[in-house]
Amino acid sequence: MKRLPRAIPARAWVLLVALLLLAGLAALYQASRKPGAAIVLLVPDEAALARPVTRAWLDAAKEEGLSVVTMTDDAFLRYGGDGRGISGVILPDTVHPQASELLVNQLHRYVQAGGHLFITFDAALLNTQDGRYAADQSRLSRLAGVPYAMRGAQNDRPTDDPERPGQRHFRTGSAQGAIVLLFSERGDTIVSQHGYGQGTVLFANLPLGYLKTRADPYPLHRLLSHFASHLPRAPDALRDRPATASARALSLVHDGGAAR
Amino acid sequence: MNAARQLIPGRAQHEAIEAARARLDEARSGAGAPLEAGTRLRLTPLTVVELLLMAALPCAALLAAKPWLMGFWHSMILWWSERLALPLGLVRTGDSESLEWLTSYAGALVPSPATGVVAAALVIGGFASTWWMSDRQVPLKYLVRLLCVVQASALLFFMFVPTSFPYSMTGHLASLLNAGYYLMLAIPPLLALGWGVLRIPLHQKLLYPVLMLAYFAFMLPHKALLHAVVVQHFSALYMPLLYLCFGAVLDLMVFVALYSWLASRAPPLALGAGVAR
Repeated sequence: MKRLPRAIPARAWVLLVALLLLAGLAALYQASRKPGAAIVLLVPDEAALARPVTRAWLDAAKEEGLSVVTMTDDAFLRYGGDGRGISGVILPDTVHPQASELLVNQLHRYVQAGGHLFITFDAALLNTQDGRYAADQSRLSRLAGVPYAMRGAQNDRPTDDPERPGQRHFRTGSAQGAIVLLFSERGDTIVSQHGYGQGTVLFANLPLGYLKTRADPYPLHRLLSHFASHLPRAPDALRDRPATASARALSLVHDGGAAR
Repeated sequence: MNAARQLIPGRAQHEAIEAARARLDEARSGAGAPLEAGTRLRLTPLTVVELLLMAALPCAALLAAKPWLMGFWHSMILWWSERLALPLGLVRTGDSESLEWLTSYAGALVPSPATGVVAAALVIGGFASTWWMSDRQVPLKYLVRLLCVVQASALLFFMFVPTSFPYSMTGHLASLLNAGYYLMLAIPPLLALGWGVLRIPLHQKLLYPVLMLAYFAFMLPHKALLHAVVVQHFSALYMPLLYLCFGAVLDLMVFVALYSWLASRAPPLALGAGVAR
């Protein structure tokens, strides 16, 4: 038995190990291209799954009959931004304020290639190094088609709507290519939709998950339903529903004139 | 012929060994013919002042010209980036300017599975190929292995915790240019000690350091540009390799190579304190 390894020269062993490693890599690559049909709720890590706001998003999706699965940033980056594999990506408020430059870049590539993204409130606003504002305005402003969370004493903190205390939003600039679905009393964009590359982006300037945990679930449910209904490959659970999502989104105007 | 007989030196070999030993002793004692009395390394006050000026004046000029130099580098990189479609822009913060890599640009900053597989295949192939290198290629062998290990660690990082990658291209480019600038600051003192002490004409003492600094002033932004092109086309997967092996270390190796080439061109009698004019 000892003679066999000696009979094989060292270079042949090296070649064998190299070929085995390459075969393993090819298998991993093949396994990474599994298509899926679910909407992905992007969370920074596993610990975020236990947070109330994450639960609020998942509960809302369940109540709306949507197939939403959670995915960590690492898993999303490993996926390589293959838009064919994910129906849509939701970047939730409150639990995902920090994002690396790689993640922001990946989100852009995902939408550019035809993906559908739902951005909410303070998602990806801060950098991962020190938790500070990563840029002069949200790095997702170009995706949203609306500059928001601009750096400055007056602009980078969420402001309360005077007519609806507790409903906070960021001051925004004028829309740059986005269709604004809802304005605030001050003229800030609250909900907008934007085409970017081959994909679309729904932007909600409200802490939807946080509001649901504070017994105000209506905005989250309506916008989640609106987002899912605009996906080209909506989960089966939604296909039976009437396609009146736009009307439902606009029916957010239920606050007696606080928003117009 | 008997093998044992070959090991016994003959009379001629014995004399040759003795002569070589004598020359070695002579060299060790510093009494060789090339270094005659009066040409030994000797620092006079005038030479010391000259060396200090050679070190201090270029450093002062570089410090004074830092904003202009950085602006020149930024302009050069931006000029190329327009033509190479790189997502680079200039950001002004107060009085300072810096290059910014536009994150929102849909470039391939994140490695795709295909990029990862190709990089892994290159690493495995490169590492395995070192077993086919001959003994004469030992330096190359270990260099290739080092590069493969660095790239393999980057691959593992991007495979398991890619979102924890803390570096940005904006920071990468800024640190490259800053490191290059500080190397340029170190060059005048190093050349004053290693080149200014040689017995060579004054114009050569001044000309070659200036040429070397000019070379770095021209090469550094182009090297940063090359890094940007690699990252743009092959993702941030190669940023660690570029930073660790082809960043400041490469600049230092280029400096050592240039100095060695320069010193090898000095005349044999250049080692001395006297200043030839």
